[in-house]
Amino acid sequence: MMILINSTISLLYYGISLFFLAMVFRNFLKTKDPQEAVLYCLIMIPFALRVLRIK
Amino acid sequence: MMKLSLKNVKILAFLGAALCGALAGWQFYQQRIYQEPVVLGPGVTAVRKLSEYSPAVKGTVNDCNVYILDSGEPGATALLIGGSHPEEPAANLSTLLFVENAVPRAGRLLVINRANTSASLGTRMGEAYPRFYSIETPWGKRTWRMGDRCASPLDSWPDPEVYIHYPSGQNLAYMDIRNLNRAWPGREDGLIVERTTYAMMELIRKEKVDLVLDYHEAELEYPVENTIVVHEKAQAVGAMTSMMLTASTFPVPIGMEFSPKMLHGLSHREIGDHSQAMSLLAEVAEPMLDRIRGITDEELLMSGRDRFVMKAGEHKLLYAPIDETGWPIEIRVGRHVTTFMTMLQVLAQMDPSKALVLENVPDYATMVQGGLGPYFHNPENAREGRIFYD
Repeated sequence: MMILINSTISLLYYGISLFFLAMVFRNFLKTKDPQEAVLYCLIMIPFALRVLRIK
Repeated sequence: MMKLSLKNVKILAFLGAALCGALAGWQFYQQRIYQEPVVLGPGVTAVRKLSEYSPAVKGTVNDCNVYILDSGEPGATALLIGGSHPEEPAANLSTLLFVENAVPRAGRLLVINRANTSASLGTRMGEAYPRFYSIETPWGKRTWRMGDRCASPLDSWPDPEVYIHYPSGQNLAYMDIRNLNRAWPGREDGLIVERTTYAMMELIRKEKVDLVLDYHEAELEYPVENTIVVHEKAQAVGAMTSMMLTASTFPVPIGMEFSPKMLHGLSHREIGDHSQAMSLLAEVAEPMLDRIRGITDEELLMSGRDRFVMKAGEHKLLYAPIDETGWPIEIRVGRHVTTFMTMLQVLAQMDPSKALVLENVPDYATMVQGGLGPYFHNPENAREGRIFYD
């Protein structure tokens, strides 16, 4: 039971990461500021690596 | 000067970030999938999986190999644990040296090279550690993964706000729930590292292990250094080993310290408290772990030479001596291997029915002078069925 709860919480955290990745990508598409666009690109890297289970 | 449109800036930024992510990701991935060959020595009679002792780790990355060297003769059973903290390579190199060379003549030796495999699949974040390290051998280079102190968040995520140790209830730092040497004696239904220590406790109980030695390395700024930490049950073995090695073998003394009774989660405390085994932990100096070190590369990891750490030593800020010689891997592994061999000698003197006799293990001087290369064998020459991967 504990293992199932832990696995579920872990999956939820992956879901949260995916959500933030999607939101940052959305902001990247919508922004009119080039500096913000670059910043959003950098912020997406760790979220993408985590969602892909690489780091 | 040409002015880029917003759309072009976005495309360039996205491609640049994707390239950086892909390059970094490829390097992380390479380390995560690299398998370390283990060439079974003539003394290895069986290789089991940890999950054979407890299903708690079955199907997980921490279902490690357990190498069994059984003489078939009566005597003691000992367990050597390497890789509790995979950023301390002398630990898994020492255990591997036994697997690839030792031949038992009495008693049984059980060996785990990668106790926390998950932690060996990536290095510590923000520390710029090398991903791999190698040793020159007579046939070429042999390479191992450099690791982290704690299991990868890919295998255990998220951490709790506060890690409440089971069963003591002691509060520890959040990331220590991924630290194998804060998770003993483990929990069958806990997070992956707790399940790993639980499975190892089952191994210790089921195999009726008499003595467990957990290998580590430590920064020179840390007071528990070049020492053996012992459970009450192992005081005599630890004290005699320390005295014999300091008097006759090691230029830098090896001390002995008692395992604190109220500090929970550590192997030297919990294994002794929760099983029949006497538990000990050996520490040796690793300058690359020092916070004040300079360039952090494979050279520093293997040579243990660093001018910043030396400078700290000149100001008497360290708990271990260091000079231009540094703390090369030969000395670190030599100390670990010789410490265990001396413990076995002491154990047999105390109780002749508890002899564990190992042959074909090099002595300290031979390892320091001749290097470690000759003791790690060529996987390409291994006979069928005599090669495993950690």
